[in-house]
Amino acid sequence: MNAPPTDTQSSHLDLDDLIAAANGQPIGDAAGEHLTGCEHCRLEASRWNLVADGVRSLAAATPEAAPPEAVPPEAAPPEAVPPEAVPPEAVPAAYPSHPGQLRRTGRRALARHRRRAVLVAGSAAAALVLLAGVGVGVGTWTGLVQVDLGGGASAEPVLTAVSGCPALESASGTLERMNGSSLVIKTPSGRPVTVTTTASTTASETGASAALLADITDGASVTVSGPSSDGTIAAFSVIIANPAQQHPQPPPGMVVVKGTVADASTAGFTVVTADGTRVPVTTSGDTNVSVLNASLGQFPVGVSILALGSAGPDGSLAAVGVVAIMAPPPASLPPSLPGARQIHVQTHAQGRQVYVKNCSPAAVDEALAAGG
Amino acid sequence: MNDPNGNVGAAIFAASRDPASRDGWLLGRIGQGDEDAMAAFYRAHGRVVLAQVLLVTGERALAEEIVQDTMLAVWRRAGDFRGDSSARSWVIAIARRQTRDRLRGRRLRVVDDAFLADRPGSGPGPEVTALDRAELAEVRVAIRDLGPAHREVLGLVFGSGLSLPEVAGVLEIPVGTVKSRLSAARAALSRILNEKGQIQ
Repeated sequence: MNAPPTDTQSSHLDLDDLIAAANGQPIGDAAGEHLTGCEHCRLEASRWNLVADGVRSLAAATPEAAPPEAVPPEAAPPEAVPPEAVPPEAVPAAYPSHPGQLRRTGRRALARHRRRAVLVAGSAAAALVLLAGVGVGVGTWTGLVQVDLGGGASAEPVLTAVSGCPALESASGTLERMNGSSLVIKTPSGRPVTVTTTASTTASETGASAALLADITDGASVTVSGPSSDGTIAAFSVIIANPAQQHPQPPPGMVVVKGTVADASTAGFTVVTADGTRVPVTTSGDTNVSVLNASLGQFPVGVSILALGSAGPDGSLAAVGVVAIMAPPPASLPPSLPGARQIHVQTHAQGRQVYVKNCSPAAVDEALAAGG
Repeated sequence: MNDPNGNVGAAIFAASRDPASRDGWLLGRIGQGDEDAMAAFYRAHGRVVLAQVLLVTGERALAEEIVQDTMLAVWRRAGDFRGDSSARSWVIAIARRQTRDRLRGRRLRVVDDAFLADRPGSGPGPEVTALDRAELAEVRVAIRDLGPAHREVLGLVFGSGLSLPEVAGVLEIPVGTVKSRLSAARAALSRILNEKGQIQ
């Protein structure tokens, strides 16, 4: 942050912080607190966010490159690729050492790669699912897109890591109304954004709320995480309808169990695992519940909405996934759960999960592209 | 890395690494002539590079040509990558040089544009209110009307996900100049919005 101006007692965020905020990167606690309380800086941040959104939406609208076969070989100046610059021993079969063939063949090779990438990315994006909930052991439970659910002075969910990913756009705000299959949300800056959905759009709900706890009913497929004592798990997180989810080693003191719900009550339930083991689970008002495959019609007006998809030319967002934040996760979640205040978006391609070790924009991009 | 099936390919193997080590590994493989590594590298960076080049040139066909040239340069020069910068900033720097060469061939006044781009903006003034009231679609249109240097710096910072020091490295200018150019770009954007009369 800048040094306090001489004419006031306040200081304002410097450009580094504003750019970082616009890029969804973390800023220091002091800067964050200042941003919360300073109207000037909020306005500046909003301006930079709009500029950043404009750039990203242009990038997102960039289609994949056309197959190189469509590019006339003569369109490339021969001098652009000096034959002598290519060591013959480094040229594989697809890149013959014949100078006259190098460029064209190289294009074909790249085209083949690109076509493959397009197909893979398409299948991955089409199967994008939102997984909302408490992450466990983020080092091994590899979320792709992080959403900081706020905390402290800010209760606004802010998508933090998808920024900069040209493959995805995001919108967040409160649900104002449903228009058929579209949602109209109001962003923190007050702008209405229409989020269009299709039958393939995934919808999920998350939060520590009694309404979501009531969705834990007998027969539901669940994944439960939390500390275990005397064989009973005190659930920090319950994810409903996620039978395909893979689970790594949980952090110390935590266990993860997956199975089917039985004996559901207001105090908890029993998880029946695939091998028939019955694991008792207790729940509380602090238990964060995530419901995948929710119905958009269930979203109440006023709920916080996060949507991911591609931006349309009219400023709408064609969503591949929408998540409703029914209530923020409780602040009491232990810091040993790195994902306690995050939402993870995972891609599935051809029925197989894609894992990326961190949640950086590059990782998201990579995961979408290398999905199969 | 979770791979319950144990049959994922090189791309997924690459994806399992953090971007820096992944890219270093890929470039090492590319240097040895590994086509799959080249494909993975293309998947990881090709679209971002294309978006950046397209933002600067505004011409789809030209941008594709430049990306192709860039990727061929990566193929040839992967062994030159020393890891002093991120692979993304490295490949974007290559793309920038390719773009500059192409635009120079068209006798565009790149130097003048860059000079103007670094001139300080007028500072907060009435035009900033344009951004306060602008819609995203209007900003998208206005960005296209910016000069190449302004589009370039905005694309590098917000589209390519590079840090300010990385942008400085790509543009071969000090970080402070990157910041002043960013501010100038935003001021120019506001002026365009005002001049277009899109904001009442």
